[in-house]
Amino acid sequence: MNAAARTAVPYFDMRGLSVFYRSRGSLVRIVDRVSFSVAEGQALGIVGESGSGKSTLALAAAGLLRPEEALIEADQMTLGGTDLLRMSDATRARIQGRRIGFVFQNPHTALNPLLTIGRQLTDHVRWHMGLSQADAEARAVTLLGEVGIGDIRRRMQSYPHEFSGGMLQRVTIAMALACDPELLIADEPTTALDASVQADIVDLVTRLRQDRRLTLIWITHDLALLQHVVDRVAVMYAGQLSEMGATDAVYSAPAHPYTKALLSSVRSLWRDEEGKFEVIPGAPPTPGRLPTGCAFQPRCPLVRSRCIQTPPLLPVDPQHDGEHLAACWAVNGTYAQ
Amino acid sequence: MTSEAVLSRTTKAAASPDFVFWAAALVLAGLVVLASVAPILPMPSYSAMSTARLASPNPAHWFGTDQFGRDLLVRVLFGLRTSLWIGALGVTASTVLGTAVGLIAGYTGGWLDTVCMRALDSLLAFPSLLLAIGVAAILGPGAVSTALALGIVGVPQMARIVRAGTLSESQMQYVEAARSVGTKTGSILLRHILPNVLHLISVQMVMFFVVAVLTEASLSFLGLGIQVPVPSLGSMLKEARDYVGTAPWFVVAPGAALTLSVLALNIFADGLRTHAGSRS
Amino acid sequence: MLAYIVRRVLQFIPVALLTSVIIFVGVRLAPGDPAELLAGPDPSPQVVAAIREKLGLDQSIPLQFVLWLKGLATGDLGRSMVNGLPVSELLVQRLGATFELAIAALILSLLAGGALGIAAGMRPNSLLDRLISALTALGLSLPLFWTGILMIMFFAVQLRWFPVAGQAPLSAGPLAVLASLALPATTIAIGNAPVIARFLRNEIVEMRRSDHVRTAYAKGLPSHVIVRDYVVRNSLIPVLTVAGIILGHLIGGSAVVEIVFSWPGIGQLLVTALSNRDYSVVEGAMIVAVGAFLLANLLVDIGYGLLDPRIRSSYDK
Repeated sequence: MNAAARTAVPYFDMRGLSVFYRSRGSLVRIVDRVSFSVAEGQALGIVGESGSGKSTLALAAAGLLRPEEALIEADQMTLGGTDLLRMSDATRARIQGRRIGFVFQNPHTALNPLLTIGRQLTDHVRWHMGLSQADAEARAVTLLGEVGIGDIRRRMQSYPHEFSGGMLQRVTIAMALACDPELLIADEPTTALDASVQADIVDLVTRLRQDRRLTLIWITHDLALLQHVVDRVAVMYAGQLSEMGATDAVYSAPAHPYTKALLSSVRSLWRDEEGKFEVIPGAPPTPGRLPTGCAFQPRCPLVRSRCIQTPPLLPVDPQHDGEHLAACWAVNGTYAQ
Repeated sequence: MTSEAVLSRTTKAAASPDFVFWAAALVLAGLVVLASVAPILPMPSYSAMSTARLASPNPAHWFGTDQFGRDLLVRVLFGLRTSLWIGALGVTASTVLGTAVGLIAGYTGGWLDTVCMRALDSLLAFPSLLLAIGVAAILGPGAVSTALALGIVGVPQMARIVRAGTLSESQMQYVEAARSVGTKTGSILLRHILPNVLHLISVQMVMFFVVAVLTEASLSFLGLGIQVPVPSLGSMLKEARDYVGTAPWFVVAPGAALTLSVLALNIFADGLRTHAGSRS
Repeated sequence: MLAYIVRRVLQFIPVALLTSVIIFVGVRLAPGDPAELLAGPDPSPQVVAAIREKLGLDQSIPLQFVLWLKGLATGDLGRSMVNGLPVSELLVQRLGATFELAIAALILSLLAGGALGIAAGMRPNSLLDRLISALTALGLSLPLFWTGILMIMFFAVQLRWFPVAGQAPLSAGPLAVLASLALPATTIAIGNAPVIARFLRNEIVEMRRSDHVRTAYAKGLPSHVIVRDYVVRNSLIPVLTVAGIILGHLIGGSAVVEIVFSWPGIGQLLVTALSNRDYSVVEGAMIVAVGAFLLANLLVDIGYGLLDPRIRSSYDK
């Protein structure tokens, strides 16, 4: 069984989540029994490459996968005590947008091109909070100021295509926060933006998080960016959680072979002068064609016969750090049988 | 993978069964074969009159007979033959002309392109049936002029599509390369660009074939297309109109044959378009 | 917005002009000499020449065209060479009938096509969707005139529910008018509703899996609001494209349907005039038909501008 994360009382708690996509009559597993939790006011980063299942995980957490596209199985999924798994549609509608805010990767496609920004900032506010149009608009104006948009009166009447990517992403963040949610889930919010703008968005979200005491889940493939944003990191590979722990711990002492290889591929994260690019041999994983057990087996330098049994998340250094976990039999001397 | 990419993968669930497409292709092939071998089948001539007028379907005449006692099965087969044949001629004409215009306009650009496009736009200002009626009226009745009329009606669309394809291909490096080596324009158009817009042309050809067949039938129905004695499904229906109360099979047979062919063609065209789309 | 409209109208004019030239020249290219036709059997050359002069056919073609344009501007389109009635009068009479039929057909097509399209789009790949897909394929394949004849055969002759042909005058009361409209309008709708249904269905399927709809769900908006403001509204724009195609069908298709149902509209006028080589009527009818089509497309373009702010913006520069 997993070692319980000895953090503060878990606010967002997910246990044993699996997501299967429906494709031509069959089910393809995209997320494989992932468990994690985030404490109130904490920020968790979920990092992985394309195809790791991290976006799917985010969508599942936010309840944005519809039954006809995916099958979701989990032991538990709660937000501050509310069961998110077996929600009625009515409950779901009250959670989404109101207690959970979601930021999508591409602001240009996430917003409705036919509605003004003002309208898109107010329609859910009016719906959730019952405000009048005037009140909702006033609220929107404040929000836009908070995210750093100028010339607000004019912007409210503008359409999405009139904004630059960075500005528009600020708008979507404002939109996600409009109803004062407790949890903000951001799916690769900076990936589609220019490098210069990315840092601005990171700063913005960090500030907003402090101001509003938000709980944050930030999904990305950009390791370098993530270390400045989140307190804890979870690494995903082929739908499985391979490593999890405090950002510093994971970045300075990665335990899972995949994490090590991942970190070595980013120059800015090399810890010593001797760092070098390590190419991970083999090919990226294909969902539906994964080996039994640990998904990293075909490419892992430490593979053993034991790995056919999927390793649970094991503590890397139980004496000093109960929260740093890695799903690898080689960790913690467990290899020695 | 982004949420967009991931989600777009999943909701592209099972498309309509391919078997419908192949069934349609099969039916189409069967109709073409039937129409082709019609002249050599052991049946009475399509103009052979008899005393069994407006007979309902019976062992001697499977589809019954028309007002002159002519066997309807034969006439429907030959009518089908005419429709397919004229349709094919019309498609060929419009393809050749349209491709030529499209290639030249798209490649040359400038005032030639503008003039061509304005001319085509004004042709497109006519609803296609009206244009066909107009051209057919000018050219007179008969098989050849009908095919020509169809051809003219189909030129603007084909030209547009080929022009669009030519425009994008012209930007490609291989065209620049050919030009820099001194290849003549005609050669560039025919040997380099044309093969690369072929997939666009073939899809449009099939789609226009459907329009052509239906238009020819309408023209013949109006008396402006194929004339007697050549049987045409459209003109047969024109005659059948007078016998709506007395000889329903006369009304049903040619129309059903026409509808069946067009349906098979439509399904086939749809399937082609999907396959062509997924390839590019 | 205004700039956009003005530009569209300006683009419309040269095309309209070119089209009228084509019609004018085309009619004159047709075989058959109206003067000879009017002169009766075995006419003497002098009689023919006299008729020709009276009809103004002895002048050069460009001159005839200018005169005709002048007439167009003043509403004088000449007279029918067959019965001498003023063409404009004929056109006005017939236009009303065609209009009545076209509107009825359009309403039916939109209702049926809209309902089927939305139903299929909201449940893609379901049995309902496949069924509707099959129906639309059939509807698109049925030749309009055959459908019309079949309609008459079943509903008018066999069942006697509707009149066989003809347009009921307004004086006969709304029931009679609707009864006479029923079969011809339905016939046209059978050919057009599938186009709308297919297009709408595909648009809705695309819309539903689009990111902005997903965002709308993420915002917690209720389904009915999402369908209304994020799915259907966004699907309308491409449907407008189809509307242009439909209009073409309506105007072209109504000619055939008018013949089948003896509906006294422009289409029927055109076809009869063609066989009579009645130049002036053919010109007039063609111009009206094509003009209506162009105008309708213009309105569709303007509609685009109204619906989609991105199109307006690109013209405001």
